Amino acid sequence: MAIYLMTRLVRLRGAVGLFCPAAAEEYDTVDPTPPDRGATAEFIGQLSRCQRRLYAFIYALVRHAADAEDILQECNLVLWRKADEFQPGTDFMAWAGRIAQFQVMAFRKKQARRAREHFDDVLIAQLADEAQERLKQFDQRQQALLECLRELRPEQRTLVARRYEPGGSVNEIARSSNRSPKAVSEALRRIREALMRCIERRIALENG
Amino acid sequence: MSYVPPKELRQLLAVLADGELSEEQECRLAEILRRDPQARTYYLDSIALWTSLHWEYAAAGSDEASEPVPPFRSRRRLPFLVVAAAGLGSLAAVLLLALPLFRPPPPPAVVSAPEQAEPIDVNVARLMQAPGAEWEKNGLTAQPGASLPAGWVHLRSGMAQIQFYSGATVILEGPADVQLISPQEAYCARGKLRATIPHQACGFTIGSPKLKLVDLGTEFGLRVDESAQTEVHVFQGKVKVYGAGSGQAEASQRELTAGHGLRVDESGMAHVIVPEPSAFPTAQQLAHLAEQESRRRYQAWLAASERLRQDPRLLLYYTFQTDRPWDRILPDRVKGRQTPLDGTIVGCEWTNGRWPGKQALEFKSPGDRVRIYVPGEYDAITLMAWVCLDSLENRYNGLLVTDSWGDGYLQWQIRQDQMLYMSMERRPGEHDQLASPPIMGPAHLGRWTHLAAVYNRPAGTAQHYVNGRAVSVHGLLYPHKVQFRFAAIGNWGAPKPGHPNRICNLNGRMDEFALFKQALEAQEIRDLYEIGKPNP
Repeated sequence: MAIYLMTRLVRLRGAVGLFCPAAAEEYDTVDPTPPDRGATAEFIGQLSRCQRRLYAFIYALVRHAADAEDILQECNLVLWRKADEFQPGTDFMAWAGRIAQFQVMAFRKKQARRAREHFDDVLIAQLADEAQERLKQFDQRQQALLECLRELRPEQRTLVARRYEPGGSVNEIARSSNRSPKAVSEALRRIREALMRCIERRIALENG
Repeated sequence: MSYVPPKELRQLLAVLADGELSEEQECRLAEILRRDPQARTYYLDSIALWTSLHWEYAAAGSDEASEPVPPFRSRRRLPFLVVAAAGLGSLAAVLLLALPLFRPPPPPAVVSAPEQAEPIDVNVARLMQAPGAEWEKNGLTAQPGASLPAGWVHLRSGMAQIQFYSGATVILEGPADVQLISPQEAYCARGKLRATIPHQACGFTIGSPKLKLVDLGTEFGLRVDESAQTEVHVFQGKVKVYGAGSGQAEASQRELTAGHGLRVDESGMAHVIVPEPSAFPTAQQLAHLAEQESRRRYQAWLAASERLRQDPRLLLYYTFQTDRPWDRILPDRVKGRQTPLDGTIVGCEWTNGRWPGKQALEFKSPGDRVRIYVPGEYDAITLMAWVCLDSLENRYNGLLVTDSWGDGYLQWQIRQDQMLYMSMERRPGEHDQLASPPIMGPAHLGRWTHLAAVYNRPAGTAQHYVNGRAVSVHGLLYPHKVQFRFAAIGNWGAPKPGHPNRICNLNGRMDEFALFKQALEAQEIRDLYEIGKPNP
């Protein structure tokens, strides 16, 4: 019987699997009920619920989408492996964030040749600490974002959708709308800043 | 109170939001963040916003933007989502990973030594039949046909026939605790066994707490009771008996020939006994029991299959049973269907399935396939098949592959690298490739194996199952309605004109195939496996 942790990478490199060498292939155990199915479901639930936050956390430390995705995959593997170190009832994201931070540092070491020297370990540690705190608002901000998107003018909403839907990019929008990439980029910047202000306002209101 | 980010920070973030920063820009951003705590907060909030926007629009093109999202089935659409899959509990996972000293997991049947590419078989025996066998959890628990590595076998009840690679055959009757040591050696701590040793396996040794037997080409019975009292009954040929732990010193050696027996009691005293052949199960009795059991399993499956036919979620159901094999038709058994979705058999031989009397189709040549047509588009589907693979000869070995690609056409295959594989293209460039870990190893060849796969658009997930267990869970990047239309079972679909006809046929047998228009629960898949598995 084996435990598998699957990872899938966005650039369709197929699967990177971690699996323990138990012989699931060979032996079907007599007892079909794993002893801690509930705990496992709970853990998987926690892990999947924190994926967006964890990605934002890692991205804030590496600023490179593909690297952030790779590190997230690695991080998920480590979390899974260390699943029994997690104390149910404690802050899952705090635990996951700590492990993610180590993964980021390990990744930077590996990638020394293209390391972003300007973000040294001190700055990364500082950002990681503050990100842990700040990202506690993540779900609340996401909710506020949905409402703020509704406040946008229809053409602004369309622009945001085209930029963020799968495969969307500034260049693609520029090409198909006969505008310069710079103009599109600028328009998007204004929309994002407006969304930021709107979210800030709503959060301030909600939190009194 | 409200923070106004400096212009330079806003510009840098605008560049980062749409691409990558240059070396110099990285440097500037780091400087700003280092000295300005409010800039750090603004930076973090900006990144949270971009991430949220990605999530929000990742499902573009699907029409479920406003569906309520329960917490666990969070919309997992971002490319970077990974889902942990559990065949077992996480605790056990960690236990197996971290504590190999306490209980090493049995080695895989075939391992690749690091320095040589050729796989090595590390097993010592095969489990031939096991009627009524119930195994203790703390040892090897195998299905008939499985290869057995060295290790303990704890048989709680029932019988098991184990054939060592040397040719020695042992029939165990539970409760029994036996350790397989090598192709030429075993140790019986408790239980009753009949050993048949052909001359090719001469010298086969069985240890026990009280004595050790070296066989000289024979048939004998061995019984070790709870208090370690041991009986040897020689039915044919002769054995050498050594006092336990005494080594093979001549002094403690004794030869027993046919018609003689020996009992060594708790205190180590030896007594002469008369052999009782009838007290030890014979291969013939075992075969008879196995046959009865297999008939029962078949009947139980027939009844379950009859119930399954009524399941309103079924889209297709092939039981691979026909009394008109010349027809080239694979009848769809979904009950009450006006126009059944019968398949057309191309090539393929009719052969034996999981039990005597159960039919199956054999896929062997590149042309072998079953052509099918499945109308409609579905939010979620479940695929299941019972297969007995001979090999993974081709790079892709088709289970169900559609003629068309893109637009939500789904393919289900086994890759040569032993991964179960579902793939679906929503539109060009938006491709979900859902590969399990490499689980279809040699241990699954030559044995009936239950495969299932679930694609669930509303939940944004997909799963692969082997023998009723989830082996992987995937988040969908590009969730889309599923369709099949014209497709092939056991091969690839018909290639478009101008495309090469790649060799992607299955090598092996299939004797049941079902397609459901919903995502089955893990427990339902488990149940389908349980009722259909060839042996209990």
